[in-house]
Amino acid sequence: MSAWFTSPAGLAVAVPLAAALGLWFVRRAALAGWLGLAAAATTLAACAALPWHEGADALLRVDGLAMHMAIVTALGGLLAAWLGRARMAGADGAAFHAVLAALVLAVLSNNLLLTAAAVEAALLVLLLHGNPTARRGLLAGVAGLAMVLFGSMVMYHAGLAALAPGLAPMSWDALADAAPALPPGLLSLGFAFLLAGYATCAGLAPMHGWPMQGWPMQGWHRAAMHQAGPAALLLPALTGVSMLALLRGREIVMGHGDAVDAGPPLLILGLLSVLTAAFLLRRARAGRLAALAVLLHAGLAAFAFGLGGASAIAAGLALLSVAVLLPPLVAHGTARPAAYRTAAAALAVLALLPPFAPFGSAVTLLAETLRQTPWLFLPLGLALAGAVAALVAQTARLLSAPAGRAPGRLQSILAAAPAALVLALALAAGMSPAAAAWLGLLAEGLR
Amino acid sequence: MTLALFTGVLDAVAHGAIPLAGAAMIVLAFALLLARRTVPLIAASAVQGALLALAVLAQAWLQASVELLLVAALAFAAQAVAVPMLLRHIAPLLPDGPPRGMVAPAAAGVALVALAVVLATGAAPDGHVLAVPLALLLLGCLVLAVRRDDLARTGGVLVLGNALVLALAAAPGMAGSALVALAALALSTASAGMLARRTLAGGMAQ
Repeated sequence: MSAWFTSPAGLAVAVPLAAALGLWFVRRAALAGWLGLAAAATTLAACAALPWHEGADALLRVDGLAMHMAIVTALGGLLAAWLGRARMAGADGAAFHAVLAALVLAVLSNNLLLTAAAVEAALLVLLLHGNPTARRGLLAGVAGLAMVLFGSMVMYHAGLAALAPGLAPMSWDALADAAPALPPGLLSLGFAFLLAGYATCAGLAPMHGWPMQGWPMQGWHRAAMHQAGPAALLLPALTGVSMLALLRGREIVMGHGDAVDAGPPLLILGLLSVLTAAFLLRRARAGRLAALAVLLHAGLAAFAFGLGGASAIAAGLALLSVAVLLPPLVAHGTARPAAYRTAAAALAVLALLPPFAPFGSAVTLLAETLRQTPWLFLPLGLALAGAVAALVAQTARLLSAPAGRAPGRLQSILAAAPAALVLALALAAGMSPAAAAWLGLLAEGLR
Repeated sequence: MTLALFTGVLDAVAHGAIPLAGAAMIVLAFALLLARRTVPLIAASAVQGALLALAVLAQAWLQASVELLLVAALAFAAQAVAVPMLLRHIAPLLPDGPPRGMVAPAAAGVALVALAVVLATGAAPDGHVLAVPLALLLLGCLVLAVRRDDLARTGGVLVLGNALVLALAAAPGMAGSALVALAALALSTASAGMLARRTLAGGMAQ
């Protein structure tokens, strides 16, 4: 890879970081909004150039999985920067772009400890910038981060058995390559802590309580817009990044035949998350819908990763991408009557309705479940049916609520533009074979 | 000759200091789990931070690593001085913890320490170096789960940070260990800072 500041991977981290520093000093809201938008668009452009710069060095790794999640994260960032453009001045904008930089770095990092530190930076900025009365969120998040860091160190200890001390025993690809020669006990111990830690950071059940009840998702929209600022709209991206780290950890531990099987714990966490989401969605207030949709989709993705196999993992990646891109629209839309329809449209996609992309992924996932673990088909199918029914009911409720009026025609077109873009993307991904082929290619690369 | 004798003695001292400091840190973690009044609680966390710095210093000597010296200094500054002083500052504003049973948490703590030893030594031939950090990590999580008062929970986060720094010092040749230590210490500093911010804001409001 070339020098970090000329490579797209370096730019994708450096641009939002510079924006975070710069926006700290900008006081004019309109200017800050456009600057934030420009920085997020540049980040997305840098990430979009990643496919032409594949490769790995000691710190950064650009493979299919990383470039896919980086593009999804940056697109989510651009969407959130658009939705939150009114509050990009000063500390709000700085926090938003610092979190975006940390998330992109976590995706592109080839180093377990760098990934852990980047996730930590994102989570601590989110928590410290949020409501100071939050304590459950902080405690659970801190415990999860401690487990992530500890698991990464145990993996380093395991790597020392075959790799020279230094950066190699903490790099994702070197560990995955050397896995057959590493002590299986330490690999299992490390993976157990990575799993517990990243599942907590992702907010999977039974650790879903902290984002749900503490800061910042209690009345997500309120937190998002009035306390935490636009940075809270990046929470779904944090879930996506944590799930990516889980997938990478799974790859390492699956490399050794005698190490613990990563499948069953992921299946349990995933099924539990889907069940919890289905149960809570029935009576959820509008402010919680986005958080619960993330829980549902992240749970489905965890289930898919637990099943294994190329088509299940491809379906999981598709569901995860949807979980990053659409919930910000729901969170933003449910907070303002003028945007109820946008939120309802996004919610309809999240409800796994055809012909959007998540529908096909969910069908693939069910088919794979029936093929690989038939005894899990019934619980998953029932939970999924419950969740879909609840989401459809919530969508209908949102549509029948008295919607406010946007101030003008141009304003209403502008307000609907990002939603239309994302929905068109979901539709195109659902209809075109290219998206399925791309995700299949990514999943083939994994064991 | 004298120099060789001197380094030999220091080697022996360092080898002995690491397990001793580890054992003392586990005992102090139990104190954090069970103590009810604020002053002993803060003292226990400060002493644990100092012991951590001692253990890292011994590792720095054994591994001849300058970076670990820096880690020891950082650990001492954060875990033994800054955070306990901050907690001491806000302690008068915080109530003592509510009275509760001691047997169940203590028994759970002993079980977790045993579990940590079994897991770490069973995982690999040289896994015993992870036994004390693992035990501290599990005890820290237990403190977070069992205690209901903010001060003790912040003490639990301190134990988590100590466990992480101890694990990192036990890993030979880790690149960028000072940065990793900063990441670990940021957890406890952020928790203590957040508690202080909240307490002081509440104190002013009254």
